[in-house]
Amino acid sequence: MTSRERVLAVFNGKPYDKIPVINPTSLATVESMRHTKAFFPHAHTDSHAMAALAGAGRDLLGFDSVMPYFSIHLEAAALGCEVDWGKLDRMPQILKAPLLEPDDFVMPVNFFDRKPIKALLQAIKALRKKYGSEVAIIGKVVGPWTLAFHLHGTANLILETNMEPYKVHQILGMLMQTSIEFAHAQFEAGADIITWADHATADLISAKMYEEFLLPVHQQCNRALQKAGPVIFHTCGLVTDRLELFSQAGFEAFHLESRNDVKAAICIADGRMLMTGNINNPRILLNGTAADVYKAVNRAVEGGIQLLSPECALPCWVPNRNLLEIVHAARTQQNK
Amino acid sequence: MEQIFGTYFQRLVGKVDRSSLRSIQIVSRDGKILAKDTANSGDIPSDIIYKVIQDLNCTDLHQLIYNHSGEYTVVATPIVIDLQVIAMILIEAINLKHCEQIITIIRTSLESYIEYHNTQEEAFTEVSREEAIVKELLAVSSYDLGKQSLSYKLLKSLKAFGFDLFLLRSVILVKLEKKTNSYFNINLDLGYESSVEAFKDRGVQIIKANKYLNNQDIVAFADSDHIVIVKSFLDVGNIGKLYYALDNICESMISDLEAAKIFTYHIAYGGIYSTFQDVRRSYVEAENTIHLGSVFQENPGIHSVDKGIFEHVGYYLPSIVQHKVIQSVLDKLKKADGSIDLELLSVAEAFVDQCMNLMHTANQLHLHRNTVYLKIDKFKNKTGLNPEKSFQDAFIIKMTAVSVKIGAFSQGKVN
Repeated sequence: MTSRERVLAVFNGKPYDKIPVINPTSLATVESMRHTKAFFPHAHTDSHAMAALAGAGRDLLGFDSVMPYFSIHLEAAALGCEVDWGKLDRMPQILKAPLLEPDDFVMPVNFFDRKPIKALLQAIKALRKKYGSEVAIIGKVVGPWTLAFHLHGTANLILETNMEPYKVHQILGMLMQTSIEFAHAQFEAGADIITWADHATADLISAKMYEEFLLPVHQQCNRALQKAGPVIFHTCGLVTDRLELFSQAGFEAFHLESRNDVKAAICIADGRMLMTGNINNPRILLNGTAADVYKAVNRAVEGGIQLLSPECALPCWVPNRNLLEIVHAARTQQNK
Repeated sequence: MEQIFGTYFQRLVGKVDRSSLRSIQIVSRDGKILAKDTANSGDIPSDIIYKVIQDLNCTDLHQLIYNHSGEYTVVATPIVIDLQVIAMILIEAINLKHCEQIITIIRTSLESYIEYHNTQEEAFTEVSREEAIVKELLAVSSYDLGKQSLSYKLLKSLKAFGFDLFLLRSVILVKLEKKTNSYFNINLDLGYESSVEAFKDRGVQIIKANKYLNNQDIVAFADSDHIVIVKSFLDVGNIGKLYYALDNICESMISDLEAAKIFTYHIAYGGIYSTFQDVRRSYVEAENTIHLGSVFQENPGIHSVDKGIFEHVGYYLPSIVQHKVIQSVLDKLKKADGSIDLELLSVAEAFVDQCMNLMHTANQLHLHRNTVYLKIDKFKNKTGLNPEKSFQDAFIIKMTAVSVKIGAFSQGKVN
């Protein structure tokens, strides 16, 4: 069974030989950058560097997937945000949001020709060409909520859920189309799966806010993408209070952070969403030993995780040996 | 566990009569030595330890296991917590019968201590965690700007529980006033008490479920009648907008709470500040707003500064202004019997409230226009204040009237 077949078998509810190890978010490490000569920040926006660094996940680490979108800033950059692309070991950040008002926004006609977007699509094509049907390719889009954070300002958006809720509905409705079209474009370029990054985190909004503002949007987006391919929903933090709502949104899988109990999450999802995760980044992957990684993998598998992965975008200084250990530990699990 | 098997175990062993034993050790399920008595003359051989572990029968959790293969008989027993064996105690026995008693006592003592320790930790991580945080945030007998600081332990707890210490925060205070039924001038117990207690348990949960709250917000009872919400905000660069957001949040909370009609609710919020140290200050402001609202507002519900701007300004007047300006006006209004002519003051206040319009003042007070004119004239002569010519004079008159009303409940002012 190829890696790609293994991963897609899980999504399709078919038998598979070993528990897949995937990366819905960035797997880029400094070690991998040195090996591939594809470094941050260049690799955020250059298609060759993107593909090379993404390929390290397969060639160096043995993961069943590759994922070339390392940050969450490509759409924001293409839509007019001033972005600091960061350093070797620091992810990008938004310097200036255009403070989008609903009436001001028009999706640019040449959106897919804008540098960061085009680079990603080219990287996906290059990876498909290189790996054929061996490895699963995971694309990524930033959902309308996080995109609104970037374009309108996080604090502004959160305040407006209180003061001008109609405006928030308008903004999300506008930006939703960008995410849908970008996802379609990545599937067409060769992606097998899309990670949908939308940070409806409990530290910012309540579950009721998610239900009011985002759930209808996510349901609409998933209906639009249903025939295109599976979508993994990524949001950070504790999600137990909202996982039931996430399960109603139509995503095929959820990327679970390590603070959440896997068994409880699977119980709440009740077969409506697969779970991927939830190997802890700071304690286990960055600062832990191989033995710690092994135990973490065992715990996740015993909890019922269906696709193993780090819990979120990796800190760049994670040693590759710990990532190799995830794959090694996964391969020693009982075959399904 | 290290503290328990280290410190506590040594204290236990120190109390034991050691004449009947050679050594005591605690080992883990895989044979690693976790603790041993410091006075012992050597470790129990590892092959004996492993043999004893192998002989452990998981269906008999209080068993004693014996091994006679070494120089001394070793007696062992498992330490069991929540039906799980977490470690084993081993004793090299000189007097076997005596050692059987000692090992049982040590096991029972360790199990009790570990269970107590676990219960304490669990209790703190549930509801009482937020209550403990609120109590500590509010527990200063007096505060002085710049001098109060949070304890290291509280700061560490806040960080450990994932609270961002640098968000803007305001305290929303909900005062629960039980509705009473008074017949024949006595309060009859009509069976509401149990409902009251049941609601109090749910009250915090109702507020926590409010759509405007998130994981960075803290909700807990400060005492039996007050719920404190420490509400967090991201900085939008315009604090005024956040206060309007607080109005919406308070309305939403009142709406959630009013479903339970056992209580009358008073809700107010304090200032928005950028550090946890100022939570106490915000709480005091909220409490004072509720006090002032209770005096000046007819209906319970949301008390806010903008519903009583003059009342709040009067409440927070500097003491120099109170003593030097306000008191001198009151002194000039004293009658022959020493009491203050409050009737004259109220006419002057009404005149100011009606923008110095005699007709409107007369209508408000249900007096003839000429009567109002004479009273205002008398007021001007007594005090020297002329609100028609000076806004400051008008302001002083208003502050004097407000100060008199506030003075009636000045014991409620919290410092």
